[in-house]
Amino acid sequence: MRQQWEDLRALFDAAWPLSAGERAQLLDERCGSDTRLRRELEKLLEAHDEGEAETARRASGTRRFGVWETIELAGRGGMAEVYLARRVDGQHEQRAALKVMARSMLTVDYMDRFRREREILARLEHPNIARLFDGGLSESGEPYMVMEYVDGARLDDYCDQHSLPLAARLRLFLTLCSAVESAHRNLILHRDIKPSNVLVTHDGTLKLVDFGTARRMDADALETMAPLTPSFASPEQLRGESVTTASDVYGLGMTLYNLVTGALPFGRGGKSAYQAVQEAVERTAPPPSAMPGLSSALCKELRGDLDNIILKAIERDPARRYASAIQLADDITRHLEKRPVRAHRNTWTYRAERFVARHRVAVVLSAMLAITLLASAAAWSVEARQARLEAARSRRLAEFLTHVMGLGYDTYSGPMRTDGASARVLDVMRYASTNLQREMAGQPDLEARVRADIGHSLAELGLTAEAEENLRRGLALVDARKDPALAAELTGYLARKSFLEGDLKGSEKEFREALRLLRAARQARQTVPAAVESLLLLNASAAVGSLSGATAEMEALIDGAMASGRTLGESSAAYALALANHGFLRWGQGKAQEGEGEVRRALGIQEAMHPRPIEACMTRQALGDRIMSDGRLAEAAALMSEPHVCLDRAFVPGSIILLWARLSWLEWLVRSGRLHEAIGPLSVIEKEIAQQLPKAGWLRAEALMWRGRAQCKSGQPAEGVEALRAASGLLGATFGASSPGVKSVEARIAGCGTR
Amino acid sequence: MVSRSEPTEVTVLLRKWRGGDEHAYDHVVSSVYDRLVAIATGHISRERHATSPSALVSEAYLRLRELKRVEWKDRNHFFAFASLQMRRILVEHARHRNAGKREGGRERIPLSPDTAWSELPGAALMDLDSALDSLTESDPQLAHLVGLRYLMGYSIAEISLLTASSDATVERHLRFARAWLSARLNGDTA
Repeated sequence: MRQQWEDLRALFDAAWPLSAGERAQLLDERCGSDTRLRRELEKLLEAHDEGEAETARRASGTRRFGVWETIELAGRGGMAEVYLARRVDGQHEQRAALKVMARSMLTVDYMDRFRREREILARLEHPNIARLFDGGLSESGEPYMVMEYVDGARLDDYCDQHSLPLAARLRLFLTLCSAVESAHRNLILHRDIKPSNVLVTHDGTLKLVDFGTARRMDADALETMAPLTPSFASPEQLRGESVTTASDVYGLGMTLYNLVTGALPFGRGGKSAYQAVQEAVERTAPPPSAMPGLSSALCKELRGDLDNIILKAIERDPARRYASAIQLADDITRHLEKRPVRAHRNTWTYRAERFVARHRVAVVLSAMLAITLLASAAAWSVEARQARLEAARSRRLAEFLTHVMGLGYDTYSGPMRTDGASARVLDVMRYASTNLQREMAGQPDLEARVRADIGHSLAELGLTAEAEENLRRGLALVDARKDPALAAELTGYLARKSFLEGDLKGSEKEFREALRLLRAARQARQTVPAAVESLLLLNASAAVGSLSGATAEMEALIDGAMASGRTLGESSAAYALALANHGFLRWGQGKAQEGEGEVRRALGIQEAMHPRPIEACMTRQALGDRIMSDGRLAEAAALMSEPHVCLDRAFVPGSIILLWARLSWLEWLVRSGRLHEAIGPLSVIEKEIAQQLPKAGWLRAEALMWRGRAQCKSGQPAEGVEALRAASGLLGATFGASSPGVKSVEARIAGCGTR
Repeated sequence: MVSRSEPTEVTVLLRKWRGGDEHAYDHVVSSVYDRLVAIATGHISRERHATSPSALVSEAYLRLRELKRVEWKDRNHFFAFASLQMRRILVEHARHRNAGKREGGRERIPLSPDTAWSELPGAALMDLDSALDSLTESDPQLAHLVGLRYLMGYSIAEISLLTASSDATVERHLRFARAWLSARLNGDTA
């Protein structure tokens, strides 16, 4: 055995340098009758020659790709080579970067990736993103793409070579933010933002390059392991968790950190990449101004705003970063224009949140109350004249929150005190609601403000009675003439509460009142936070639309919601929600393709958020529901299976959203012919609806209608007709006896039992 | 970033380490870790516009932590373990990104002297992994050299320093190993 191996090796060493003829001669002599040895050697030599040829091919000169000819190899990476190339069809002189997939990479998954990069580039058109010119297959079948050739220096080198002052660096950085924002608007994550992927040409034009690791947000997120650069990768990327726009914001933040200090926060002082990764995942970055070796003038410039801005962009928790590249850019612009920035460190909201985190309350709690806090802060921070008063109010609110959420060793006995870490969000909110009056004594507007947020949250979760109590008490504290904005918000939430109870008519009436107050607030030049306004308009559109269908009024309300949402950025929650609704509207108007596209785009935005908001789950469910109505049953099932879990977790059992999702699944069973599985549960859910949501006759009618259809088809026409009649009566009570819904049910009754 | 001069540094450190310098040991481990992360993420061969291969930092982070936990008796043991970890990372990732697909028949993958294995497509890598097992059976020393060169990314000169032999010898060994693995990989040897 050993000897055979040695022989093989010795012969190989002797044979490989020889010519084909000499090799044959050598093998003839040495192998003799041992054909196995000979065959083995021949195979080894062939493999050897191929490897050598590959090396030679890699080093070879000019190659032709369509109308392009390579000039020189500019770089080589894992799956591709990049050449400087020129156009040779005589049209005009043009240089470009030509990227060709390495031959060894021609396997299915890599071809897909290469194609994806090409598609991504084709979608992007922005002055600060290298453009795609051309692409195709070479004569030997290798995929290639031709891109704008950027003859420039890396961003950091450029800044240093030109000794750019801080303000100029910041302005250059703003164009990078705009490129990234544009990619995000096209639902593309870059995932590897760092100075070496940003080039600046001689004339100072910045170009973001290398979308080789980019991903479409709306594509299937199967690929969990994202390529990355350790020093610039976000903690969630390093941990292998899902990557969102916030991860690109982190990359931007690190790039800016590097740009203004010449250093990076983690792994300094000769530490290894291992330590750098560990620090990035586990530690909070020191402020840029604390980097050693900076001039005292630069330190002074960085301290304060820029420290805060950069630290906010590279927060370990993605939810605490800037929500989008544009918001980061906005804060930098504010700083450049010497206006107050949004990033603040150690503010009271920050402290309150830290407090929550320390006590390990469920994630939802911090999300929910943080939203409450931020919304309140946003609503108040506008009027600088009252700054001192606000500070007092804010402090009061922060104290209140600490009491409600804290262990309260002094006088309080909140849920945290009794249940500790297992305290539920709902208990905390209820406790807050009970103690609000005493806590906020003498500050009615503050109490009303908090009641609005608590009431809104309770209603959405399905606790409509408690929600109503809070909202009504809040309304009683507000003078609608003095503060129409807050009154509009409270009324809007009250209307939404009614809607969630299934009371369409009551809801519509209340929404009209809320919209009137909103107009009054605008006339009084009161600031209504964009997110609040967007939500109000959207919810109003849902109420109006459920009663009278897709009218011009409904459309106008949705358009309004989109406009308000857009001011928060096209990756904001408010915009996504409005977009989804717009999509469903279009779909309902028969523009299925446009509508579905918008809904999916909205879903993409929502699912890219961190933490993933509950409305992502609802949008997915609604999309499944809509697709089911179009008869695409398999696709619908795939979409609807997941939301069940997250909806179940989020809402209380009697909530309309949960009942609707369950009903929608039963409808799917009926449509798929699984009649017997559906009939029993449809009876159950109908009773539940009658019990939990007495005002939602129309929803009960749906359950009855589907049960009736199932029974008609499965040989129980008597029961079927009875159910359909009941459905018709309930629908008539809400929408009128001559409404299309009633007519279609009547037609079913006539056709029951016939096929 | 990993500097080019590091392996020489590694050899110096290794000498110190064998001389009982605890501090040197930490440095060796750290620098090897850096190198492996760099290879795993494809940044060692990476230049300007180029695209990196799939990255493995998070696995690398977890797996390579082991490097720091174990007490190493000699450097062969250490490097063998490191390249084994690297191999596992690559294979695991290949498995992940491949997830059972090998459509359209097999492509021939010529192993050229400068093919970094972290750049290979998944299917090839998994075949290579089992080929390397066979090679270890036939010739463990050769497999060790392959690990140093193609998994750890050391140059010929660096390897000859590490293994106390000449460049020509290392090259001769590797040339054979390449051909042998390549024949296994593309061939029909059952």
